[in-house]
Amino acid sequence: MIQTSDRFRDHVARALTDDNLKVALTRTTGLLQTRRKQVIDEYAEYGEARKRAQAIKEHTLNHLDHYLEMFEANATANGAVVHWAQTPQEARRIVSEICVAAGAKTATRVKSMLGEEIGIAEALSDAGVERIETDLAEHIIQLADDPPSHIVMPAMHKTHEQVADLFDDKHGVAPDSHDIPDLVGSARRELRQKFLNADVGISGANFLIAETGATVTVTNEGNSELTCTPPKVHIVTVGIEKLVPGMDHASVFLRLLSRAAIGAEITQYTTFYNGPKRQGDADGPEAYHIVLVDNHRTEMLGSDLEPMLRCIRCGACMNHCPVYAAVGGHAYGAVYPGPMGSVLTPALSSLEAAKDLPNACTLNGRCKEVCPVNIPLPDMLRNLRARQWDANLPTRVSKAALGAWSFLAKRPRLYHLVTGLGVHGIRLWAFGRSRIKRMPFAGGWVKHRDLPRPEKGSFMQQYNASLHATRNRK
Amino acid sequence: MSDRASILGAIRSAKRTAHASEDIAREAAALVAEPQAIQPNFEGATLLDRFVAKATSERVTATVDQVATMGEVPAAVSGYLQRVEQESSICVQGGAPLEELDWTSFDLTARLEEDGRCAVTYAEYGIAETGSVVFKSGAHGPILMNFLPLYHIVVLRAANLIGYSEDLWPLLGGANVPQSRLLTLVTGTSGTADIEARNVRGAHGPKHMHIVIVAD
Amino acid sequence: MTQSEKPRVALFVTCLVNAMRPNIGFATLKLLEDAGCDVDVPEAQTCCGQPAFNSGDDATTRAIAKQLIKTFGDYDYVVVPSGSCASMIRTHYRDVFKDEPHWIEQQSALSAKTWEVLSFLSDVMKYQPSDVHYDGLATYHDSCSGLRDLGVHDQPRALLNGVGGLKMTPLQDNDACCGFGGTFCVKYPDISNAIVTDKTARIAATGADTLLAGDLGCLMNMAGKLSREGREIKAYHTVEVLAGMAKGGGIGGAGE
Repeated sequence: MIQTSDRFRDHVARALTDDNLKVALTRTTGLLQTRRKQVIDEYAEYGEARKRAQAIKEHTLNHLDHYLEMFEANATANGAVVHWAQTPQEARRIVSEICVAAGAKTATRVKSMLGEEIGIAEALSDAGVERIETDLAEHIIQLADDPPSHIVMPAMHKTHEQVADLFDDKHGVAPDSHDIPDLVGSARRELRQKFLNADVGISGANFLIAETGATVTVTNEGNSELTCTPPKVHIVTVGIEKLVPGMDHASVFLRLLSRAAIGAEITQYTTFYNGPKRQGDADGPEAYHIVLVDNHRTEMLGSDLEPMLRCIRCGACMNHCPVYAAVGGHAYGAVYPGPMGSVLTPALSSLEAAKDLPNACTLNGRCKEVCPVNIPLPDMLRNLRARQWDANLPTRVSKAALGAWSFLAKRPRLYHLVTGLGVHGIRLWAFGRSRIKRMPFAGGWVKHRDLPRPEKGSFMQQYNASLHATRNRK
Repeated sequence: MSDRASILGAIRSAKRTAHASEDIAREAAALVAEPQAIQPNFEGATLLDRFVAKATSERVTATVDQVATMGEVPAAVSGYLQRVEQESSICVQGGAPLEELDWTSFDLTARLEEDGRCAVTYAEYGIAETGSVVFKSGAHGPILMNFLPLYHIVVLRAANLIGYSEDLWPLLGGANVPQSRLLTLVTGTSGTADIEARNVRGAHGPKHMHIVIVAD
Repeated sequence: MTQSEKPRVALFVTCLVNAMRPNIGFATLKLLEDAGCDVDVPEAQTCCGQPAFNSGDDATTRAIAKQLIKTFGDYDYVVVPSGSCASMIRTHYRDVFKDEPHWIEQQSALSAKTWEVLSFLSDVMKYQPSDVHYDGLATYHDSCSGLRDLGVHDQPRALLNGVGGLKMTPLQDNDACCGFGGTFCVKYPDISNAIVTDKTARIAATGADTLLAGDLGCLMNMAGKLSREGREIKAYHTVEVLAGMAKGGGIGGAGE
């Protein structure tokens, strides 16, 4: 997808007047929060598991070169062809070439955000391959020609009524009814033969196991196995940060990922892919390719953005973000929305291209609280603001306002004089009313809410007056 | 420079210090020592109790039958099919131990691709923690038997119940043993919550899972 | 207890309380004295530097923080009627001085003795109000910084338990942000409005006649919205109720 994070404010304006979006988000985020809380509360060992998960990711990132080489050696021994791509362009070139060499006409795809990040859709169209999205949400947004709005539930922005209209219009056989189960059934009918007839299956991976060379997918739909087994070629595109040392380490994350993402102890299908079809196997692909993608990840390593490489893409941060809940995922104009996206997007593009993202956050900290690998998202967003400040990106108006206030804050006497006058000024403006509904220079506040008329005199003025009075009495 | 060399080079310049492999391995092992500290505790319940409770829970939605011997499996399957009012046309996984059973009263079919079918497959292990069943790809039959049918009937030996996924990895033979192409932990049926976060079963594959646990 | 045995507490009133709601400052002062503290209000105080910090202006934040450390360094405790400003000093000053290690010692000392008022009263002074009354049904919003950075959750509820006549009713999503976020609410007023609109709907759904919280910023945001929506729900900072100083129309003037 084309990044449009620089138009964040326009997207927000549109999102806030989109009634369907509000309905869709209200119907989902609340449910996801409740389910997550329930299943985490039941998991008494959660705190320790979270600590270990963080430590395992830190360890793996500290020795990323070692583990990548180990993974490559083991995957190759398993029969995989391992490719390395520093850029999305290179990753796309590799995928296109594999498809062309296989003479592929169609490719089924399991949702992978890395795939979105590198532009798999473009790679397939370059290779003249028809792309078939098999994750239900991806199927919906492919039919609607929408970008994803959530990393776990890419069609979160759609109400079931909208999905029904879409399926009525686009499916070969219309859904039996507009109830959600019948909508799901309609997609099942639409996709079944496409799964079985595809030439290439493309997946991502939730984890890479260095010690065994396995790639791991977790899905609820079972579409990964249906995508990766029937075609003659299976391609995995995956970010290099998805490594974990061994199977026991994977166990730690399997317990956390689905709990955080969807409020389940485990997803329905947790699958380890160890290579192409073995001799005598009843099914499976003849060829198995793994494309290891960097795309700025090595730049984050060793910087203050490194903790972001711990991310396991559960989406809990966005499910608990008040800004995300208000504006939805499309507003961010990037592959990764919400808090994790607001950190990642500037890192994957530039500070300038995503100027609003680190700022459009109340720093309430709930994202960090629910993060299963304890990524300090609010601190990282704040640090990005500091980088923006140093790069002189904030607007002149906001710099001037902050500058004036800072000037005062560093001069206590002047500060108290000016605050006292300010309070007096606001009181005068209030014309005796207890609430202020309009005021110059406070448009952002009074546009939506009243400002109380301040008391007569600042605290310091009142306090000093009372001290003075006490002294005089004595 | 190749992309491989650039990526590894960038990592090394960001991280600088190189470590001996043995030190890294020791550190990695320490990070997963004493797994019981992070495994959901079900002390007091047997593996079987826990497995059944989880498999039949609201979140997993499987049904469970328990029989004494492998020979009783076909009758259990037949009973299940009657209960759910399905015709007796089924796919049965090849190889031991299912192929050897007496399926004469069934209309066996190999046409798995057609939607709406029932398939009977054999799980290598069951994981009590989550109520998951474990399958491996191989010559004994398409692994897709576990992903395509509407009704998924799973045969599992009680002796093959294990506590946690950590207990499974050593049973696979360790890091140096060639692994099957695919290893899958299946917990319930194909589901989706992609429309308004409403849980719906039967997304692409099984809508119903029935597990026959064999005591002997 | 003689005067000298009392802990010497400096009250840091914060910018917002100083300008918009001095009553909160006076209520804090009263509670601290009632709890047995020897309270001083240093005149050289201004701001904790949070607006600069959250805007990414680290140099200015450091200058302000140094001034604050000098002003407040000699007291036994610094008490703040705001979880947000207290957290700035207690948890974020560390980041502010990460490039000036020679300041770390003074910074750590100040951070360690800086407290949000409700947790200070409850955890340090073991204070429980007596002889104070408030007639009303109140609901409680947990402001984010106090809740997540400082663990302020049980303390206000325990303290309010000692107020005669006060009934409490739980707020759904009590731990969800109200949409204030400091400069966020004026930089992104429409998003902030969407968030606070959800919040006031939740507040109204409780049927409470009073909204309580521990941060004036959040309170002004929610009270301002309640007032704009014409809802007759009064908002007070928790200390105002605890000190028996919750009089008049409350923050935002609703109910006047």
